[in-house]
Amino acid sequence: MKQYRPDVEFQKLRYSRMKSRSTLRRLQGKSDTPDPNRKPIPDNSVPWLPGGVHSVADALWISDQIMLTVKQWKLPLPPRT
Amino acid sequence: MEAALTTANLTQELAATHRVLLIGGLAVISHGLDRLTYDTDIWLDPLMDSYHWSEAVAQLLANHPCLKMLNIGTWEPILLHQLPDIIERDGVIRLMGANHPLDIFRRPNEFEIDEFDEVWNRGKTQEDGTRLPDLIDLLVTKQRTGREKDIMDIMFLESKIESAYFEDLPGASEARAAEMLGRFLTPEVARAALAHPSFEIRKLGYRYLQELAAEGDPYAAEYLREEPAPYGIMPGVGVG
Repeated sequence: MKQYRPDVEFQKLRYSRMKSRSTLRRLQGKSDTPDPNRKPIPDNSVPWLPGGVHSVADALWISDQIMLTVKQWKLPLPPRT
Repeated sequence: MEAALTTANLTQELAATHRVLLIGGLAVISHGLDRLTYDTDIWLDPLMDSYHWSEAVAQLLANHPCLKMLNIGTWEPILLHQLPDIIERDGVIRLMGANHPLDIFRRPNEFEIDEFDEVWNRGKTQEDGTRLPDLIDLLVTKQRTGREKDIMDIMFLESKIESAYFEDLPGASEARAAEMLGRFLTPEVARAALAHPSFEIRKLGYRYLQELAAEGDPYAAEYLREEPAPYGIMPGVGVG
């Protein structure tokens, strides 16, 4: 059986970024852990389809809605793939 | 004149007569990531050989004469008699003529043709007759593509699988835990295995951490510095 393992070069990049963020926060005198005095914000996103995706048509509909929304907000579209 | 042809309808038509797995961006959306995509990617049952596979595609083309086949990359048209050789060489073709491009794979990235059955069996049937590959199989198709856009998909899928593993691994039987680790391994998952009730799984988790660290994974190397080695294993980097 195949075993999935993350790409090592990408892991190094992620690790380096994590360490950089941590160092920057330390230099700024900020903690790495969440502030216990602040109210945590719960997940407030609403799914495109409340019942989830059940077909290719559902998935395409979500993609099309995102494209319409991006156009509506006049945001640059990602490069075509 | 044919009514507006959609890739959703084309896919459903193929799925009525053949096994069809949804892969690519739409499969990632189906697993919960909100992102857009321009094309539909499917893995059509590879069948006995590229000739039988080509016949299945030819039937679709016969039903919808507006469809055109293109070479992926060069975007040159493909004639029907060229299809078996091209699919043997490229593993994928593009169909144009519906509302979105439809990429039909016979051999998707990181999978061999003979692995179709196991991916199909692990998949989930959808209402339109297609199947959605499980998270790990989908993640495998995203490996080593060298495409920036796949990084977001990889991070989403890895994170979702890890969450499921953190929930299931502690209570999994020894056999099931070994099977899980044999299929998906990140430093965080290997570290989670160190808390498993079975000593064998703790040893396996530690050995995997050593392997990952030896391969150059910095997270695994850091966890090894923090975690005590289970009894009977030499601590530190290096395969025990």
